Amino acid sequence: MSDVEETESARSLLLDIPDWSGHRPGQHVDIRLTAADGYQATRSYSLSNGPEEIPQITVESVEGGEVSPFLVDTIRVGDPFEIRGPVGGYFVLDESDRPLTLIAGGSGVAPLRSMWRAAPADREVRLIYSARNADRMVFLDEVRSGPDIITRLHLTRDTGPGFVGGRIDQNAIAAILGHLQPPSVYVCGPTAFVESVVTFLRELDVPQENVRTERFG
Amino acid sequence: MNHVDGNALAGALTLAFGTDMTAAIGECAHCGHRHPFAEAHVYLRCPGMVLRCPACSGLEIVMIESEGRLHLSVGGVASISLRKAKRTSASA
Repeated sequence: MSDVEETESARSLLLDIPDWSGHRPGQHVDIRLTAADGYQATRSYSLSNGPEEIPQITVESVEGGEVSPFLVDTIRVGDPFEIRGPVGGYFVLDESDRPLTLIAGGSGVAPLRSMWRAAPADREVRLIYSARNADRMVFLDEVRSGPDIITRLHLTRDTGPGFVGGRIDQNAIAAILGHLQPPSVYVCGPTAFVESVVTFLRELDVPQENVRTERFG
Repeated sequence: MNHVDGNALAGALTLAFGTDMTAAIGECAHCGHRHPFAEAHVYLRCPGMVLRCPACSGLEIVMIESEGRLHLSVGGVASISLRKAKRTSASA
């Protein structure tokens, strides 16, 4: 295992898993930790690398969380833990040639990164991504230098050159969708974020069967 | 407490059913709403894992892992529809 410090509260862990046979973009793994007293906690983390790359999860530390603070702050390279996966067959990149619109709230960008790294070169990819401030924006450098990804970056509690201030609203989604109709849309973020985006997409008449969502609380 | 969604239970559901269930369609036994299990509301910090209907919040599935066993209560699901795995051809 090796690791990358992504932001002050997020860390990517590259996993050394024997006989790993790759994953579908959007899939995740379950990680189970067992405390000294036998108490176990299992949480699901999205794979953030492309399917041909070393499996990697990107974890944002959640205050009061049972698993994420350990994975971000405590675990050291080389420490073993239990893993199950890859799992998930719903929030996975489809194989259509529809243009791809990715909508991320915070560390919900992790499975979407796997998708943009896996998308065929001739498939148009657009990303709209919001975070509290630029320091908390995981994969910001990659997104900014992004190969052929049209991006729109929102900061909800800050402003700066290259960013749009404020939450993602219906106009922002209409702007990123542009002329693309009908796209495949993948939305991942906190539950309240995903619910509001789904409402905007419905009001913009995006076909619901092409919209896939993942909420992480 | 904030809920997540059925994607978070992909691993546990696969363990229980032997195949991915997040893309399977469940019919709520309380209100009849049909939805992919990925869209269900999931509560993780209960004793066990609780999956509720996104339309009526009715209790659909409860899963508890303990002492190496998985206990499953599915009384809140009226029916399940899932895509059959593709067969691959083989010859002897």
